[in-house]
Amino acid sequence: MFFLTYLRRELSRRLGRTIFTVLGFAVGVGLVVAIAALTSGLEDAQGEILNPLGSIGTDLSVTRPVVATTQDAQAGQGGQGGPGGFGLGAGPSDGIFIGERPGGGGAGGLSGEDQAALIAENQSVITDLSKLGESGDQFVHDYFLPADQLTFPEDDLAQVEQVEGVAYVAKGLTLLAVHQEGTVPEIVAEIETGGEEMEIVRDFSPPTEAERSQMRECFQRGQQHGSSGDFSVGGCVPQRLLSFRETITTPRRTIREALNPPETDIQSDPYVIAGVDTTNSEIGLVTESQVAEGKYFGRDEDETKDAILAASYASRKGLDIGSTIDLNGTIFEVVGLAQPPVGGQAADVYLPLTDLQELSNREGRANILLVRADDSSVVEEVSANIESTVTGASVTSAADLAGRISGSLVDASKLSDRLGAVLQVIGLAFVFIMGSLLTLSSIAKRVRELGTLKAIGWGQGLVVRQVVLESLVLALIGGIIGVAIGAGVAYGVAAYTPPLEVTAASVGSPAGSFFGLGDVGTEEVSATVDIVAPLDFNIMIMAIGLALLGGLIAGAIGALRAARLRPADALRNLG
Amino acid sequence: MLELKGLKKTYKQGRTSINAVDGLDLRIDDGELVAIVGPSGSGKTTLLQLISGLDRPSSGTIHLDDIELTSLSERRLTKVRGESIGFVFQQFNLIPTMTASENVQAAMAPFGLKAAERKERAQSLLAEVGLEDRAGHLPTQMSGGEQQRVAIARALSNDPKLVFADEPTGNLDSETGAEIIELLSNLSKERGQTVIIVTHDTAVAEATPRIVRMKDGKLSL
Repeated sequence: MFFLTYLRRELSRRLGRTIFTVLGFAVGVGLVVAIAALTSGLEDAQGEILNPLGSIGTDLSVTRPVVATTQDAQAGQGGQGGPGGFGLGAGPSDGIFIGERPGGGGAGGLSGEDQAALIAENQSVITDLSKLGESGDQFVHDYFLPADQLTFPEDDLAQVEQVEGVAYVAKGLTLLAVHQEGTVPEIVAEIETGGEEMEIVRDFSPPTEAERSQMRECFQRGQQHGSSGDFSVGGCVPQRLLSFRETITTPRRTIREALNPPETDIQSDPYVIAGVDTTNSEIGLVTESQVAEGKYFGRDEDETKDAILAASYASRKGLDIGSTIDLNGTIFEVVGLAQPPVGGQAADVYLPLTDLQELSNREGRANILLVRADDSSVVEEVSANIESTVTGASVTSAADLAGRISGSLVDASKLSDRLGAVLQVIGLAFVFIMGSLLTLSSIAKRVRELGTLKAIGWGQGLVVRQVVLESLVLALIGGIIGVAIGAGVAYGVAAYTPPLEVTAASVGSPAGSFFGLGDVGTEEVSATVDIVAPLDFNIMIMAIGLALLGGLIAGAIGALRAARLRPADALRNLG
Repeated sequence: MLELKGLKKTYKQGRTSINAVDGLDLRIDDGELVAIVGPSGSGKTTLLQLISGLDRPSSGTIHLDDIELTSLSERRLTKVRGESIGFVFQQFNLIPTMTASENVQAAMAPFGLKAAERKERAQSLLAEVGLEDRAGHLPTQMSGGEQQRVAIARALSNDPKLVFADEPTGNLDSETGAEIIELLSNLSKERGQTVIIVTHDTAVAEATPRIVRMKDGKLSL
């Protein structure tokens, strides 16, 4: 094919122009590829981080937090009842989603029932040190509290299952655990009381006129009887006017009184523990896919009780697969290490639900329901259905969680959203404009050549084909080099960019300062994400395709110029 | 046979019309070697472009044998030009990135010859113009005379009826120019091709059997 020979000669013998044009395409394509790869990396990181519910097979989580609203507070202060904001019945044992909302009342906007439930749920936080042993004994104990995320009978999930659009519901129990160890302190003091003498004197008011008259008559009768012998002056005085004087000695006894607070060396170590519904390993507070190392619950044959730890918690505590943890005398073997999502129901320790219920004396109770919708398109609708159907339910969706996440990853993603497309458009424009200008420049320099070809019998189609072919080949080479440049830039940027941070409230986890325990639980979960710039096949094909499109456009513009070239004009102008 | 009747080419410069070729009648028989001479601006190059089909006349007819060139479509005219007309330009107009052989082959490329046949014919034509050992050289590696010989070989590549040479010695020294004219003359005699040379050089013109003189777009004595 002579045309290919011509093409090869043109590209190889006008090397400067070829390199310049190829670099033009390569820079533009490289820019597009690098941004596409980095954007893809950010999207992947976002997808992983900003969809914590998705990673636990869940579209929505349903909890019943104790949260005072302004409306509640106003209702409480007004004392007129009205919506209290929580679908609590007579107490935690009555279930949370049943019955009318009680009227508001009480401090902080909480109803009296809520306050009672809150205290009842968390009463074990008041350490009964006397049950830990004799004073001076060493003790280790774990306490489990739902904090402000109250529990409810796990059978309540049936209500949620019946909501339209709900495909599957799993239950869970997330508790704030406090691990305490130390020495049982001197907690009781004996105090001797009694033996004191007390003199009691009663005072009285002066006699009334009637009493005086009565006493006078009495005295006169006594004088008239003279020596009858049975007269007594005291008999004439009214009883109330008789003086009372008595000395009382109080009884002696010993009082045993608890010291509050006792002096102790007890160390408290808070963590979050979750009871996982293991019925379906794809949906739960931790799922099989999140187990980065080791196994999921129930995957081994031994009789030991299984626990899965958050990898970060295990690392902090020096625990690993095969380690054991002692929770109030029950030994659990660590079978897996999980990477819980930022912003989700992150816990430090995961146990099967029944084990945690037993440990925390909350048999048959849960405090979170994980809901999977029939279809991702109906999630919002299902959320609304649950909130309207199930009184007091707090429904959290992935979108809610995404909004709570902040940090440099989110900033980078926003930057990527805002600037990524712009830079890609600039890159593409660079490809097209650079390609077109260079092609036009080339055509302008080859007017005599192309005019001569037309003069010696090259038809318009052949000249156009030659120009477009040259442009396409330059674009193809530029595209391939551009992919390599873009991959290199993306890799370099990813490699030298510090890990991006994300911070999020651990939604639904019992957290915060509670009953004087200080900051406990995982109120904020932070994580760092290493950005990778995946260069997948589609991006490469897209980039080369864009380069070819740029080459085609540039070639077409050049070819149009060449096609309009009349050989006589071309030769006249230059001859 | 080439026959021109009432050939006219008018250019407009603002409101003024200039007749570069002004109602020209001319007949050139097959195998003739003709020189068209005239001072600069006499219209000789315009005439060459019209009769070679590189440009369209304002009026008049051009018959190449039984083909009326002015009535042909651009596509057909390009084909006729490629098959029946060869060009030799003052500036040689070789493709700078192609070797001598490839430049000769370039004129054959649109007509579907096989690569081997193309190369063989190119080599033969280069041998005919005395450049058989320069086939692989680029134009920049050859002298002006050699380049013009390559251009002549290219003009002959499709065995055309007509060869037009526009100031073929304009960029050559007189000795080389004389060699080129001799080459064209010999080709005309040996191949029986019609060769029309446009020149302002009377020495070149006098080396041809027939001289057509032009002045102000018309033939003159």
